[in-house]
Amino acid sequence: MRVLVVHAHPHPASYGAALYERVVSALRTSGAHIDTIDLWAEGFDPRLSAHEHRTHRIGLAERPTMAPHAELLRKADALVLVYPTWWGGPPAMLKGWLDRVLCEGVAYTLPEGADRIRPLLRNIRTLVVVTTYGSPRWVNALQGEPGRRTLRRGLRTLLSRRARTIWLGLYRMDTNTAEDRSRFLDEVARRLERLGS
Amino acid sequence: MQTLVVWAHPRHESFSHAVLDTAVTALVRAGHHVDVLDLYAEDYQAAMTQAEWTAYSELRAEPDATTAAHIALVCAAEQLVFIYPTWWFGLPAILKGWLERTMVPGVAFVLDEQGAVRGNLGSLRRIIGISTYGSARWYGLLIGDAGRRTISRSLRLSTPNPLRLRVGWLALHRMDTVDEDGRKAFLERVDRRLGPHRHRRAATRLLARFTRRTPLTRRNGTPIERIGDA
Repeated sequence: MRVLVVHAHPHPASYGAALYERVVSALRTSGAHIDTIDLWAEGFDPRLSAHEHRTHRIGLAERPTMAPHAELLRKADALVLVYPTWWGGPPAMLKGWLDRVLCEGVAYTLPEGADRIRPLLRNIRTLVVVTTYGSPRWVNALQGEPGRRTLRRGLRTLLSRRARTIWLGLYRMDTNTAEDRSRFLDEVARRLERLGS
Repeated sequence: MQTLVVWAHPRHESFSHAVLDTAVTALVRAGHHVDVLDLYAEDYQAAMTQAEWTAYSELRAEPDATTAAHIALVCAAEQLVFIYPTWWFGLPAILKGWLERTMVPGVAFVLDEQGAVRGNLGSLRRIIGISTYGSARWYGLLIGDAGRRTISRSLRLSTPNPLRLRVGWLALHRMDTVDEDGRKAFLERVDRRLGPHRHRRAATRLLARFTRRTPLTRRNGTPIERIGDA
């Protein structure tokens, strides 16, 4: 099993970074082949450029810097996203990665005359999201969980038809205790160790 | 009203730019004072920096010069207008990043003594979102319009009295296949919604009717007699 882990947090000493490390070590235990993309560490530019917008029907050929990431996506059996939820959804860093990497020829094709896109990431059978929320669950429910909708419903339409999603969220980061946090780390590790089997 | 328009599209020759033009013209015509932020033209950096995150986690703000200027505009604004293309069901990263870096502690919200979040955008009265979508309307309903939710709900909670904030939404679906007439009709809609308010126009007409010195007439031209005229 080949797993692509995409991490989006600006601080290497944060709880978000600890989650990422835990994810990677748990996957290692499970025996999976692991690829990682650490967006902030890479200095990734999340802005879709005017040129990329103009040539969006050409796809990857006009965005050479995205080729290595696209290659990892194509090879992956599972995709794991680790990020803090800000303003209801993934940080701009991760949203921009999706904006730029999910281009024609990588994520979908639009055959001549078709009215809908055809998904191409059928190789990905599992989507795992590990995220933290500052606010309590009810506030996020009120906001309508835009991030969860984008990934669980939107991104999933590009993956394997029977792709399963594992959603691991820790709420109330503003007020929760060290104990809550370490319990969540353990839960994340437990779920990901079983991923390979 | 003091109005801040935030535009997030990389290309000036795009339809989104035509929407921006129409919106700004209409707002000015309605008597608003309008500032425009063209995020791509400013070469705006969408990613929050490590220092900014550290400050945020300590409930401080550590804005650079650009962000400080944007914060001043946001704090003064009575009306925020967002114009953007919906990409992958949500905001373009540059606009999402703008929210993350501008709507920081002390600007968009404060914590009260109990540690509860309180919206802090006290002068904000109205938010308007205008977006173009590649997909059909039913598709957005099925997946959930994440961009709209982010602006109309998350941002709404950043005002002290969320229920009094007015939020307007204008959407053009099936951008890739809509014809010239469809686009024109959408621009007209934008113009009507942001231009001089129709209720105000009606009120002006009504007022004129009761203060007019010349005899009142019906639509067909026959005079209306006031009580006591006879």
